[in-house]
Amino acid sequence: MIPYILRRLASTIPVLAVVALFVFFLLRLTPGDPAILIAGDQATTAQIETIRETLGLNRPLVEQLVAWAGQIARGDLGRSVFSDMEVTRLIGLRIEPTAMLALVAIVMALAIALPLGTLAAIKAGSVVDRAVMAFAMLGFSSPVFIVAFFLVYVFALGLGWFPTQGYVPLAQGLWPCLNSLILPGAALAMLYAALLARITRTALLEVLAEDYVRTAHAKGVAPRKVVIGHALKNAAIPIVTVVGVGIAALLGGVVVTETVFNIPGLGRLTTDAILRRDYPVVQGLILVFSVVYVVVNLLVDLSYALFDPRIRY
Amino acid sequence: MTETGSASAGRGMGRAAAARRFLRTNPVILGGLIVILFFTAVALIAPHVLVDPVRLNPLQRLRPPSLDNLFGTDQVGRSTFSRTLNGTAISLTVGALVTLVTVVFGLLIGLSAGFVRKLDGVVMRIMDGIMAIPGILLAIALMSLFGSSVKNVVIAISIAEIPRMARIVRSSVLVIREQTYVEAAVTNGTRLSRMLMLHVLPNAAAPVIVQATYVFASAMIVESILSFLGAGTPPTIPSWGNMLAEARPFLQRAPWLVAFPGIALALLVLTVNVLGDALRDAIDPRLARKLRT
Repeated sequence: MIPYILRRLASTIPVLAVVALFVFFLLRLTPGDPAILIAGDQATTAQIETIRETLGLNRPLVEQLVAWAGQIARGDLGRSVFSDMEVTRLIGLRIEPTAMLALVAIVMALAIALPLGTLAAIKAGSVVDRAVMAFAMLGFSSPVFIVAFFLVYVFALGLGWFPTQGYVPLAQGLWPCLNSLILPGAALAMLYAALLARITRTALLEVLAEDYVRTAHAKGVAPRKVVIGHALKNAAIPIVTVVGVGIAALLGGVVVTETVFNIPGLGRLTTDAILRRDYPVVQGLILVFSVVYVVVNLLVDLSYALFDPRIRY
Repeated sequence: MTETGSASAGRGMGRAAAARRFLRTNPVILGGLIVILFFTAVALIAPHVLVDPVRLNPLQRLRPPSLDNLFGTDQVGRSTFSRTLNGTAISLTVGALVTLVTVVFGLLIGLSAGFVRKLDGVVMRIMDGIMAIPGILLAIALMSLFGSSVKNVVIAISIAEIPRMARIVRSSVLVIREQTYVEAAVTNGTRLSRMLMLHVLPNAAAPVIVQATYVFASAMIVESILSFLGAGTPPTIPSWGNMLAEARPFLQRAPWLVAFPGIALALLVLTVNVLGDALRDAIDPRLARKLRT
């Protein structure tokens, strides 16, 4: 097990190195002077010169690259051009709302997708199955901000059940915090739930056709126990795989959801940084989001052994 | 001369007949194509018959839908009907161009990685790296550097979509490469270009076509998100994302401003996705799991 974990950990290094290189060259290889690009149209020559100086853009490319690699290795993501704050500190300040939002969305997506996908698989071909699949198709096709507008219009403006926007920090109590995240969480969960409901149905359908499921039925095991104890457990691997892959869509959706609902998290920080051309912050955020994605998928890989004891690393 | 002419004509007719039979047995695909053709027709005709989508009319601000203004008017009195219908062209153009660019580069990269073993490791690690960056995030970051224009939107979304396509092409190449008939072709000294046309491309076509429909749908969604965040098409262009961004403060007072472009976008994306699913099931049911997971 441990050699496998180490090998798997090592395999994430080239991926993250490519991300870091990509982010580095993105700014330097874009046509035009990167310092002018960051400073914007109204900047004075002095301002442009300061940016060039602080980001080291006036040094040779190789030297910049070595400096950048050394910086990342030390966990230093540079300073914001806009506020002069350390990027790592800036990110640290904004992490709570995003983590809470993602958590609420994942829990909601699983709570919707697993029962619906299971139901669709058990009643394959029926009206219920078609309705669930149509719902999944709709969720899969609706951009997150349109779902958000719909939810706000009905549940916040219309029924007044939830606030239209804003975030209540966890420090002010768990319930007020969750209450402020229900609508954004639901909007964000939609796509994820659609993906998961589809894979749950597909994976379960495959398992339900296996001999051991028939045997369990023949032995007289209660149908509910067959599905939950025998089938779902064996369908878990494709499902957790999609949980991992879907994280990319979820993280992208966070940027949009936080903007629509005015949540001061990493997503809002991203849009703000981009509109202010605060490239060191953009760079740091891309790295952090990619690390999250890679780590989640690493955990997914390692979790296979939990679901299938035959897998020994 | 005449012989080859009639032969290819015969094959052409055979293909047309096969296409007709394919559509008859797959009504969902036929329906999907009809809806997309309908949207395309709207995109082509709208600019010529409707009022100018950017014409202001300060006396007719925020009017609800009525017979005079079918979809109502926005905060500066522009016709939402005209803007929504004219917005179709942007979404379809971006969707189609991104799909084209993604297929071309996906094939180029996937084929080189699949055939040239020396390239494989390096190229695919680069693709893995790009795939580790959430697509929307990558596209907005690129837009922040490129500046807003339709061309840059296409480039930014394509860069995020190409790695997955390249990976799909590569994996079909790896399977095909080991087939006995390809080995036989190699032994016979068949030229690479001929082998590609004859053996590789036809076999890789199914997964590529199916993935292309998903790229088309996803490109339209990402375009609207970029425009919505202010990093997409220039705000003067009536794209659906721009309309939704402008409509946001008026959600309570003028919900129609959000509803019409929102429904149009969701409907078009839904159609393309349904078409993709139907194509996948028709071409190869086993593909379903490979592509979705």
